[in-house]
Amino acid sequence: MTIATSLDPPQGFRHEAFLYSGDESFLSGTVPFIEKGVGGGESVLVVVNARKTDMLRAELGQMADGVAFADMDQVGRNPARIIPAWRKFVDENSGRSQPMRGIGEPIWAGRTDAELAECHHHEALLNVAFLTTKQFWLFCPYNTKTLGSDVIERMAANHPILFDGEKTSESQAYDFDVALSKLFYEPLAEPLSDPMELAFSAQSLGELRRWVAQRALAAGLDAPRVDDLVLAVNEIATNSVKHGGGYGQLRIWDEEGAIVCDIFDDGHIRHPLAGRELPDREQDRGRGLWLANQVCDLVQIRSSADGTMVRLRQTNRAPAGN
Amino acid sequence: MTATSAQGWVVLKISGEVDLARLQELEDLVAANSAQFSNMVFDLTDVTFMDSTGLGWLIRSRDLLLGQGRLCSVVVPDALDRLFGAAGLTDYFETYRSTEAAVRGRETP
Repeated sequence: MTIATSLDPPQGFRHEAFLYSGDESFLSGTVPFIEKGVGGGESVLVVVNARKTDMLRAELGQMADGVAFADMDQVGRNPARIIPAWRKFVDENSGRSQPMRGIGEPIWAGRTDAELAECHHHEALLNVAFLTTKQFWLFCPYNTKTLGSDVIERMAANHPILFDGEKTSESQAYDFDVALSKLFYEPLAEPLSDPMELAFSAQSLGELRRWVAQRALAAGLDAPRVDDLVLAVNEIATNSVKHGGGYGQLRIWDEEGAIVCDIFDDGHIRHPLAGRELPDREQDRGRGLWLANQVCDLVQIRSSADGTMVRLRQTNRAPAGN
Repeated sequence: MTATSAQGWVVLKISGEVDLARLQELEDLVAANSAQFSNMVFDLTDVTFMDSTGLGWLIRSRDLLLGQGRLCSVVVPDALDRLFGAAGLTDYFETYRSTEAAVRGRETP
């Protein structure tokens, strides 16, 4: 079904994929969208890479003053950090009683398979996170020239509305429940090299930390990145001890330029947005998954009644944010 | 861990690693030093590792102290900035870089 293409703000949350093919096509879809928002006094946030930010600033001229920009390479290095960025935008601006609109491009041709899997989960979770948000239009550009058909298919399943640069339509493939059901069940790839393994319990968390630190340093990770990984491993392992039966297993291996850890326990993580919601400052528990997402390049959660696995991936690329 | 007193302040100096295995010990320490109803400084200068269990303990301790009308300050070394920052707690506690600064900073002029 085709929807009339109007740029007026939506009543609720409008999650829309924008299919483009190259720079000109990208601008022809995003610039009018932004201009309508700025012209209407709306709050506008654009999260794309630095090159696209420069391109947009050049096109928008003075109008760019009315737009907030953030670098997706920083914000979305770990895709689980993207929803918190939009949450912050919505929370800071919803008091204004003006509509909000944003552009977010989390998927590009250089993403690894593991990152891509988590980007798809992130897109599906946007439908959960902002289900009841009023007057928030999120535009997600996808480059049809560089992305495979499997990515475009998944995109259609995650976005209720599709815009191809000319026509707007309801996505026939959109299925809220199917997208959510894939979230914690989609299998992860087998380790690329022989893992080393260690079991742990509450008493051996210190030994686990030292063991992981040694492996990570030996694999060539810089000290600050090792510290970050050790903190994340410790948080997940502590969750295993507290919620996963009192014990767990870790396996660790090298991949090119990265070190990867899987942590297994008998617990069951149910909350779809686990690790993607900034904990209230006053709360004295429930920070583990959040912290892991802040300090690791990728965190992949797979969980069911049969148990939980959390995969952490760490590289030497500079940490985002602080 | 040591507890010392200075001008109406109790200073709890924590050393080594702070994780789940240490939680009971840390909670007992705060309880054992609460009888005097003095203000409290948590000196984390010599902490070599801390996690969200440690943050949770600090938050509960702060709640307890403030609830009793006592002051609570934390001495945070550079090495722990990343933890506090990632947890969104950078401005949550009254933080200082030394116990002297903590005690001096909160005295009424």
